[in-house]
Amino acid sequence: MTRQDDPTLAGDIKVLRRIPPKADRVQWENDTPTPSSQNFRDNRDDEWSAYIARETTPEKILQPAPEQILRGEDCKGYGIVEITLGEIRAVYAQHNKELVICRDDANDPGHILVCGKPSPRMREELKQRAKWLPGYLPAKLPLT
Amino acid sequence: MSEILEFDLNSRGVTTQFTAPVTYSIVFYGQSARLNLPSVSTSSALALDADTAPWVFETAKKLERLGQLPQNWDSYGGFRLSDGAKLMTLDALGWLRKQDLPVPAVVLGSAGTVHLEWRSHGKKLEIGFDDENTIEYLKVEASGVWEEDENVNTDVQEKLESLAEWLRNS
Repeated sequence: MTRQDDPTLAGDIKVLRRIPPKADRVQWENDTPTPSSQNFRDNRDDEWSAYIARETTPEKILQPAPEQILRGEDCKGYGIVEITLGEIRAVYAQHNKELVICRDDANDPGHILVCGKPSPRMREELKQRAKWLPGYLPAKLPLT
Repeated sequence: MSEILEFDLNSRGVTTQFTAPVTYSIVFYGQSARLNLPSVSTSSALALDADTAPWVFETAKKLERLGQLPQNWDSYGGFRLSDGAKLMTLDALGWLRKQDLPVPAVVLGSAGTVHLEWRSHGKKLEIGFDDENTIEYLKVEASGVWEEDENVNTDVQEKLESLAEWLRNS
């Protein structure tokens, strides 16, 4: 099904994204964590997802899905970053990249999809604009 | 019990430790050696020699650990490390093994890709390896001037060497 842009998903609406603490997805310098730009893409190049902050809670988005629980997985140690939809749209516009932002699944409140493949530079800019949600820094894992 | 193998290759004093549960083997021949990673066939092992820089060992160890992460490791349906991306990264480590670089972050992409990320002298370099013999890169000067390419599939070795040179030279 073709995704359709929802123009109401814009401006200063904040969205949240989980950041795993492993696989060097977070780099630490002097006790300050920085997320890797790889956190702003998913397993399909052209879509990544986030949650509208006012429609969910950080605790909910850190809750593992039932199938994850069955596999013994959890989101322990994950951090959360926040960024506004306006900032996301600005990055794509600046690079003249097509973008669709839409809601995903009605059963997953506040879940949105950001559709449009970000280039390495765009991911870097998304990373720079994203801020850690206060109280939700990732765990500092021992060096591997 | 941890099994630790200390490895002191040469006059440059390269020393590294490999700790269980990952088991590595190193085959010595003369002044050179070959690092066999458990999940990679012997024919694709990383060739080492007396000039191999320390960051290459550290990067190979991190790469091997990435290979132990399961499907959905990132909670967003992330794929396991792809064989193609891993082998391409090992090729790159072999090509760049004499370059004196800092240890990079070795990041697993959600599509099973590998991304090496360096910061040095105010510069930033990211190189991504995928399953299709293609690399992408982003380099950012200390001044903020940047360059990127999402689709390098010819003269890859030369490109990587020039990016490493750029990072090394302040």
